[in-house]
Parts: sequence; structure tokens; C-alpha cells
Amino acid sequence: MQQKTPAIALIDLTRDFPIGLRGYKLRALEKVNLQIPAKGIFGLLGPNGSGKSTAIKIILGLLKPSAGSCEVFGKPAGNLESRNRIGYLPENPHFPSFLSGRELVLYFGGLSGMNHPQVKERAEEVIELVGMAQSAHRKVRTYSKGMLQRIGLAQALVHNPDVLVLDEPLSGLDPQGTQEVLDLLLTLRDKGKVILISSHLLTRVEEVCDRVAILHRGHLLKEGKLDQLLQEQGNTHTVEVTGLNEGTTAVDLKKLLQANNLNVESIQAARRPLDRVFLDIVQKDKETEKS
Amino acid sequence: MIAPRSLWIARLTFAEAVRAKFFNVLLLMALVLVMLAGFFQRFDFGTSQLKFIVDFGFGAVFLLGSILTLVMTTQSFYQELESRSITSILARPIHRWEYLLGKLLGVQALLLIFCLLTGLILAGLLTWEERLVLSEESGASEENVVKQSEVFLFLGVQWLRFSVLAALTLWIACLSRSSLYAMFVSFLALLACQLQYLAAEMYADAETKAGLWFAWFLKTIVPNLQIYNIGDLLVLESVQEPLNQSLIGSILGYSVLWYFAFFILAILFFKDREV
Repeated sequence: MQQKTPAIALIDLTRDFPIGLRGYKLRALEKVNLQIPAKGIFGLLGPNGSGKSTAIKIILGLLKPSAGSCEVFGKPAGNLESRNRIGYLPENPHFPSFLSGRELVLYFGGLSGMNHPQVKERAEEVIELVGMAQSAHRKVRTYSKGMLQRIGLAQALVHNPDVLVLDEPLSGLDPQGTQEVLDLLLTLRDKGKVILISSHLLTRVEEVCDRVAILHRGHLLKEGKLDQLLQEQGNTHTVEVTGLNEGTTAVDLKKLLQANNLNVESIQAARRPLDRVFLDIVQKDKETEKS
Repeated sequence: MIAPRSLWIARLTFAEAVRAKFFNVLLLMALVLVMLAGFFQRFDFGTSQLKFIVDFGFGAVFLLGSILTLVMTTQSFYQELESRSITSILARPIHRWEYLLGKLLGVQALLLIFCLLTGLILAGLLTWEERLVLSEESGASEENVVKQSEVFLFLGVQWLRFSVLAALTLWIACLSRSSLYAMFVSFLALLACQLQYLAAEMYADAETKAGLWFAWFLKTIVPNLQIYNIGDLLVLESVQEPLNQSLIGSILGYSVLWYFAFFILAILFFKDREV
């Protein structure tokens, strides 16, 4: 069976940045080999300075590799054909503030070589898709951070790319804005888009990624399916139990486990992430208001 | 045909530039200066009333237009580079030369507006002053007859000068690392271009072979922006040497040559620049 061409392939990718006049080099990426399949959401994770943005710039053709290569659907990254298949949303996007959301999307459609009737029709589609139809007439300077991200996604989608590259798409968003963007990414994945997210906000990205790669100091440390990575913890398990009574419950549970020759290290009440609690409260409030 | 993607860039560059405070302040200054030419002429006793207004107006357009060209070209290039919005643009299927062309065309459109508006005010002022002079002097001479269309011809030639200067500034911006540095070096380059005739004189007077080569090198690599100073040949009927039509053709050819030379240099320096 013929293997499917990956959406993006980094092959022995190395990138150095010269520092000063003496010719010292800072190695941002070192021999990174990575294949991003033509399906699903891929998370490029790592702390600040790990080489995520450099990798993204090379994928977009904004930087040239010092060694190795990068391909987009089998074609060299950076050529017009490759760039036509990619939509890009930078970290903290800065758009001309005097344009309306609609004008911004039209502008980026025009830059992608679409003719006017084509771009006009497509702009309305993507504005609707990202849920900005009501605010598309407003100037970009009046948008909240979440709205900016959504209109940013619309401009990235306007030329109907196969791959979306999102650099820190959740940076600076409140939990509600984060959830909106994540929901939108899942919708786009269901529509067949390949999504590459670079982020250091691991807990939220974890909710949507199918596969992840972890970069650190320019090295690829780990790559694979998210579920597999999360299960690679040996034979330690977390047990969540409901329906227990207060007071005796933890002791009872401990006795029960020990009776079955299981070693209990600790028992704690289950905690939920704060942003999840916040979201649930807001959601409940919204439902109450509706009813 | 101009690449449509360049036109999108040009439109946005122009739209951003006309909103810039700097442009509006400079345009206002130019218009006020031109309007005040009638007032300042009372301090001049050496030339005729209309000749003074023409010289003063043309001088104001040259000075403020050159500053406008340097600042707006550098600013429009560095604004997107510093805010990193350039990454969203260059990640699109767009050639880098298309981006640079768009920037240049946007600035040229802005300069065209500047020349047109100052030209309108200057032509209006000259018409007004001409009427005043003719009504005061019943037997007024040919000296006081104004050819308004030549005001626009002069400003068209200035627009060519500014276009060459914009291409030069864009090239300098492409090889610089900061907007301030680019502006400073562009200003020095403008001075060198204005003084290029000295290299030509040095070439004519050179006594040694080394001096001859040096002067030739200088006069070849630096464009002569003095060729655009044709104000003395225009506007007033009384001018000593009327304009030779072929001069306009040669200025146009000279401008196209240098415009594309600087534009190609800008492309070469920007081609692999990290953004």
C-alpha cells in the first residue's frame, strides 16, 4: 500500500542564528525529523525558546534552514504552491486597525491571489464559520482579544488552505475565549483541515490534539499519539471514585485496596482544573439566563 | 501589467500612510508655505513678484516632498517589520518583489496626492497674483503671464524625483536593521545625489588617471537629482530659455533607469532577509 504523503515533513532540519561579529551561532533547531500527517490536529509543544516558532517560520518559508529540508505535501516549503496550501495565524496578530473585520479578510484573500467576486463570497463564508458575522463591519481596533483571534482564523482560512498553522493561538485569551477557539479548531478538523498548533499551554491544547511533538532546546524529545504519550506512565493509575460518604470513605477505600494487595500511596479528593470550573459556572449562568 | 497582489499591498500602504499624522502635518505645512509665498515676496526686491512665488513654492515642494518621501518609505516598510504583521503577509503565496513593489507604489500614490494638492494651491495662487498684477499695471509685460499647466508639469517632474528617491530609500531600508538608521543613511544619500554634479565637475577637471577613475566611479553610481531642477524653464512667459521638450523625455528615461536599478537592489537585499 502506498504511504500517504505527510502534510508537513521536517527532514534533518537544523537552523543556526549567527550572533555578533565573531561568528558565534545559536542553534535553534538541531536535526529535527518530524512528519505531520495529513489529518487531525497536531500540537508542537515546548517551553519558550524551544524552537517552535523557528520551525513554523521554516514551514512558512519565512526562514531558510541551515541544513536539512522542509516539505509541505511533498513540495519544498516556501514556494508559492506550498504557501497556497497553508493558512497562518501568528502569535498576537497585529492587523491594520483602521480596517473592518470584513475588509481585513478581503485583503488577505486578495493577497492570496483570489479575484474579487471569489474573495467576496469566500470572505462571508469564513466570517460566518468563525462566528464573526455580527461584528465583521466593526473596525479591528474595537475587537477583543478573542475576536481578534477569530478574525485572524478567518483571514487564515479565506483561501481555503489544507493546513492551518497557528502560533500560540491561545496566548492571552481568557478561559471562555480559549474554549471558543478550541471548539472552532475541532470544527475545522471535522471539515478536513490539518491543524498545526504551537503552544506552551499544554493543558488546554491537550484537549484537542490528536498527536503531539515536544521540542526542547531545539531537539525533538518526543512525538506520537497523545493518548499513547499520556498512558506511558508505567503501572500507576489514578482512581476516581464517586458516591462515597464523608469521613470514613477514604479509609474504607484504602482498606479495600489493601485487601486486594494493592499498595496505596495517597488518597486525595479529586481536583478539577480552575478554568474548567470557571467555564462550567459561566455555562450554567448562561443556561439559567436562557431559561 | 502590475501584479494584482502588489496592488492590494499598495492600497493598504496608501490607506495607512494618508492616516499618518506625519503626512498630514507635512502636507498642511507645504500648503501653508505655498500660500504664504505671496506674503513672503514683499521681503524680496531682486526678482519679480510672480517669479518669487514660483521659486518659493517649488522650493517648499522639493524640501517637504523629499522629507515626506524619506520618512514615509522607511516608515511603511518598518511598521510591518517591527509589528511582525509582515509574517502574515509573506506567509501568503506572494513573491517578495511583489511585496516591495506594492510598498513602493503605495508611497508613490501618496506622493502624487502631495504633488497634486500643492500644485493646485500654487497654480491658484499664481492665477490670483497674476490678476492682481495685471489690474495694477495697465501695460503689463509678458513677464507677468503665467502658464498654470507648467506648474503641474514641474510637479510631475518632482514626482519622478520623489519616486527615484523612494526606490533608493526602500533599498536602504532593505539593507538596514533599524528605521532610524535607514532614515539617516537615506538622508545622506539624498545629499550625495543632490551634489552629484560635483563628481561630474571633478571628472571633467581630473588631472591624474586615478582621479579620473574615482570621479567617473562616483558620477556613475550616484544619480544626479539636480536634473529635476527645471523650475527656471517653466511657468513664466519671461523665462530666458524655454523648455526643450526632449528634456522631459530624457528626465523620464533617467528616472525609469534609476528607479528600476534601486528597486532591483532592494529585491536582492530583501530576498533572503529574515522577517
